[in-house]
Amino acid sequence: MKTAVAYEPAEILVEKGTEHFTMTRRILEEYAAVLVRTIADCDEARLQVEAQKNPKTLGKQILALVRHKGKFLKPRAYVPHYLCYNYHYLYWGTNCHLECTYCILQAFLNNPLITVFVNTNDMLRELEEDFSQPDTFWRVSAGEVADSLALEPATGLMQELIPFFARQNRASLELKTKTSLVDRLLQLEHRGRTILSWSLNTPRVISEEELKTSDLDDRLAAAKRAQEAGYPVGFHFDPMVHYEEWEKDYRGLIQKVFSQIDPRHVAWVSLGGLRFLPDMKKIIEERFPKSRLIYGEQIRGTDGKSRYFRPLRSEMFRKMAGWLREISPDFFIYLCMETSEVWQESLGWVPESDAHLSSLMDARARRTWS
Amino acid sequence: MNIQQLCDQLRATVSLRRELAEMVRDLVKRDGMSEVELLRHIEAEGVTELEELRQRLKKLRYPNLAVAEEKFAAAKKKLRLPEAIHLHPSPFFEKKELKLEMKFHSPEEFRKLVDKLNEVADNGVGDLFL
Repeated sequence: MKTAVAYEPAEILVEKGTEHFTMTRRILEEYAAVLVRTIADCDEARLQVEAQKNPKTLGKQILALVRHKGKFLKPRAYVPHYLCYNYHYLYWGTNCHLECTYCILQAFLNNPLITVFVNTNDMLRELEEDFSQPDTFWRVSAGEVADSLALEPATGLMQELIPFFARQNRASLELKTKTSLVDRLLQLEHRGRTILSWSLNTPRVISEEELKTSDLDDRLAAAKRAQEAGYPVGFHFDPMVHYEEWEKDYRGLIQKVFSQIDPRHVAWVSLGGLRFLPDMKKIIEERFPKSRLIYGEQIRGTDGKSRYFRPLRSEMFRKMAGWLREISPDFFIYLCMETSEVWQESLGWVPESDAHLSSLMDARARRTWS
Repeated sequence: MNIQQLCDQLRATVSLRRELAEMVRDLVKRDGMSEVELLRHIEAEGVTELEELRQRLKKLRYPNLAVAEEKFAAAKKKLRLPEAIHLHPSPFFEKKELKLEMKFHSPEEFRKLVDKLNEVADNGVGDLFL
């Protein structure tokens, strides 16, 4: 079993005025041996890194602890022509050291440093205020611009958020990870409000493309521990990769997952095909020359992203859904960023709208509450 | 011979040159062969025209898309539509929809084209959808 590579920054930058924050102190304590520099703001450090030869690699060696001045809860971006449920993502930090070759953050983020927003009290105040609005249900993901748990040993943030969400009646939290760092979460009071989710892939894709993550066995062992602690769990088979033996490998993956996980307490399962922004091709070629992902049969989708030719996606999802339904007909399976054509061809139904899919997800999230 | 030399020889436009070069580069990386080897293989199949070269490379780089395009072209041909009617699939068949374009100069011409469309509507249109 291989666990995810622990994050070890070479340098920590602390924004002036945040030195006394609990989160800053906690992180500095965890990395007591690391060089610390106080800065006025991150821009100078960012520009210095960007002027180097490998800014995306170098940036990950620097951990920036800064105050976030905007909203912490952000609505997901709307994408025309592709169905996706509505949710908010929690902007608690940005970037990730796990080095998945296909990671969209490489093209999406304009700051190459690993950043944690240390004004946690401001975040919690904002969440309290938002969640007190009547007639609104907030499905929150903490894994949009960073792996939810990759920095947990240093930040302890999710250890604060899980009991916080346990007290809410209009919000649920989803943590998404490719690590096994759940042990400090197992004893927390969660009341089913937090869903612990894993992005899963075939052992081949994990070893070739998800370089510093936990292997499949390690992730599954963690998911099992989470389930035993009463957490609802979720699985995201995303990005599915189309290669010669994909069918055998993904079928084996499904069988392996559900030989260890009880399907009755799975909140949802998502399926998504490999997709990437046009800029990513060059980035992947430069940073990960051994990767062959970008030479699959990808066409330009109507959203401008490269994705597999439609019949290939439909076939992959249809077969996956079939294998999942053999395990349990009750799985809630959804597709991530897909056209109505692909929904129909692979799952046999199409949500009426993003809002319709969202309401189904809301009901699913609430189902596990105690 | 490399792809640039072949493009020079076949007088490819700048955009086509870029498209062909990208397909060659991708194929070389995907299949782990050299550019010379790949092009020798294509030349061995008697490719001498620019469009032929493009189609051959496309078939190698995007085999399923190339088959879908061929099927669409064959289904369209079977409909024997007049030249004034054009049918276009969604780019890369991403959406299951077709675009219809008609050119006419009088109500009479328009009527004739509509009659033709009515005629083919019941006969073979289904084959156009992927």
